[in-house]
Amino acid sequence: MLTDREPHLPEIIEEVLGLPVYELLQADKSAYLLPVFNQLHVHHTQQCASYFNAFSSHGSQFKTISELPFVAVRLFKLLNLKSVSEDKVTKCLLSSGTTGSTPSKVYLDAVTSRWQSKALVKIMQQFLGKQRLPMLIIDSPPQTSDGSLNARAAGIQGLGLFGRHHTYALNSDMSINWKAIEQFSAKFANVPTLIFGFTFMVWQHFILELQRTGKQVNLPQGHLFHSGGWKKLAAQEVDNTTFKQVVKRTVGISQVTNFYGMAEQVGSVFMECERGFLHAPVTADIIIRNPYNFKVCARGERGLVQVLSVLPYSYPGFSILTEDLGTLRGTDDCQCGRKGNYFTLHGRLPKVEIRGCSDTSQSPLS
Amino acid sequence: METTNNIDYLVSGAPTIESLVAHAPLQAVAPETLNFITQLSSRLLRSSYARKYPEIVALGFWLREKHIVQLVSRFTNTNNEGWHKPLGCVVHYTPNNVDTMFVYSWICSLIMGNVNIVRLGSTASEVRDVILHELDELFSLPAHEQIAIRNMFLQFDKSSDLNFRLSELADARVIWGGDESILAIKKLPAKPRCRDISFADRYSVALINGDAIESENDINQLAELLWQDTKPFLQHACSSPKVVLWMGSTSEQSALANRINELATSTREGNAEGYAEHRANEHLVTCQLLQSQQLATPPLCNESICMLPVSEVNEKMLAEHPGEGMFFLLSVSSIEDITELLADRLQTLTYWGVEKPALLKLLASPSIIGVDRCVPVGQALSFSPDWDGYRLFSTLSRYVYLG
Repeated sequence: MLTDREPHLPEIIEEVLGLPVYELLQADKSAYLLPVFNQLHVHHTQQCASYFNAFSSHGSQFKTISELPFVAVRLFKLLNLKSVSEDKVTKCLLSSGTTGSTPSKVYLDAVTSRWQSKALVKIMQQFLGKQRLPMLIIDSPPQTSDGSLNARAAGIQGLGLFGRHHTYALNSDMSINWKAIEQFSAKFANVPTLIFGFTFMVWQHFILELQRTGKQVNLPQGHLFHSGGWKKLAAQEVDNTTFKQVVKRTVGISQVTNFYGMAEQVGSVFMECERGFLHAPVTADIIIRNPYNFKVCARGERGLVQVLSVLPYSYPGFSILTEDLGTLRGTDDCQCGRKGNYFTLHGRLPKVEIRGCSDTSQSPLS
Repeated sequence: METTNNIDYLVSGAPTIESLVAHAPLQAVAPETLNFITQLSSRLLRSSYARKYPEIVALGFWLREKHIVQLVSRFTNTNNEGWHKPLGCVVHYTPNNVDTMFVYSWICSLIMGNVNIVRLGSTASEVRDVILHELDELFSLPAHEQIAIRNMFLQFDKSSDLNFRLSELADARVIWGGDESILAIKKLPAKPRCRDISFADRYSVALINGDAIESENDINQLAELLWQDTKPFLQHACSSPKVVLWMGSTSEQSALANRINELATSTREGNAEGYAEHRANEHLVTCQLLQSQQLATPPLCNESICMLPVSEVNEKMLAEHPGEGMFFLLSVSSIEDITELLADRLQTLTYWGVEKPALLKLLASPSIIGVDRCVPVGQALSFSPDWDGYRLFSTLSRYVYLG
């Protein structure tokens, strides 16, 4: 019976990809997504032994999305989780996450990669239209690697689909490639452009560098998309509002869109709207859970962010409990007009403090 | 030469290390020492911080006169065969976060008459500050001058050559810490007859007999006792049980887990301190990681505490045990089955519903190389001068044999 159902899963994922990105009311969207998630759960219990061992006891055919099991995001660092055979894996995304720690490993096959691109395209088109735009990438050109792809490069590659005339703004030592930027801005000063970078890179190696050198870059029609942690910026007391103000002042860009995404769920990103809220696209959903007991939080209550996406087929990452804290701000009623759940983030769950009589980090001599 | 220059913090009646060690030790179990300890006890119990920190109450209670007199009785009953004398100068290296433990070993050394230098770890804590404040006050009183000039609590930079100087002065070194820290300290040159007492990295387990649970009241009591052993120091003390070995009927395991969870939840709601938001997530990661490797089945509870049934207990699992209210629950069919689980790193075995003769038989088995303490559940953290396999009063004194 189950093997009967299996071939349908890719088809129904494709169907979800065909739905309008932000138009479904949450109730309709949930009704649509629940059977997909149920099938994904069955698929991964059948194809991934680790997932089976940890989650088959939860049952199957859940009645609501919130009943689905969720994988602690750190498991992608600790285990090699995949639901396709080795020969189907086309690439492995490596995300270092917290600096210096073991990277997450996300195994992708051709179909999952394709869906990821497709989902991202549909989301981006909501903001940029269908035209490919000249693209300035606030990063260094990718280094040739061994088939595994770091998440930064993967993100650039994903967004790169919307661009043409891709220009890297930084050299490999993270210094600004002035010549490339000058050429880019001379050529595209008066047309819409796409600018993309990771939040910290944009701030540290682009904005601050422009301020320091006093040089001008003029891209008034540019639309900056950025994503990534705020931890290092918070240390410099830079929040989203400050970031936007300084970007406008420094490079004349007034369209700045932050988005929330992660290597473990590439494609179904959560875009920030004009009102400053993050929105779940049709391919994804969000649940906020009480960090003390994992119960679902009410609107307005701060908790751990669980992200769900219909895309993860080659690895069991369709329902992940992140270590990010967020708050559900509402459903279907954002003033921006987008339907479904919308939320805000408050950063990472604070790090664990090591205590105990075996605390070697505090060695009197080391 | 002035040696206090690079000392960051100091509580002592002696202005310098030189003047401290110039004093002859007191006699063992001196009346002025016992008087000092009694005063410290009542100050700690009266402290406004006592309500906030149960470990301060526990320490104050342990130090009360009646208890100390009972502990030292075998030294006060003189016989003609010999007597205990202090070793001289004992240098203590304290653990960083198990804030009160070093006080117990210092008190044992103090009782035996030694001159003490306590090198405090770099991490300050409110509990430690409270204790040091009370010591400072007592040291300033004329009644305790003889104690004050022979005891010193100090903190200094890790790289300081004071580490070498202290080690050279020591007739005994009491070293609390992880294995690496202990080995580093033991490498420092010391006197040929210097004794090292190392409180290294250990872990502890509780042994519960499910067949002995007869009522809901039993469950409540057992839950209280287990939680009492687990709550302080966020379960990171070596003596707190990380593993629950369960023999007999397993029918009450869930009820027990839920009851401990209720206690932990009310602790959290009453005082959020130490109940960081990361706790349940850390437990979740551990559960899912072990379950995915078929080392565990779904947790009986994962909220304020986590009770995770496991199919084995190995060193790796113990090394990655997150603490903060997590129990690896291992069901065994009989007491004999636990023999192989009592590894050399096992410090305390607490028991509930198990008869002493059965325990004696178990622990006497030559194949058991671990277990230095075996006490009822609820007493895991009750410090005893017989600790970690040492008999501190004896180890921190010299026995003079009279033939």
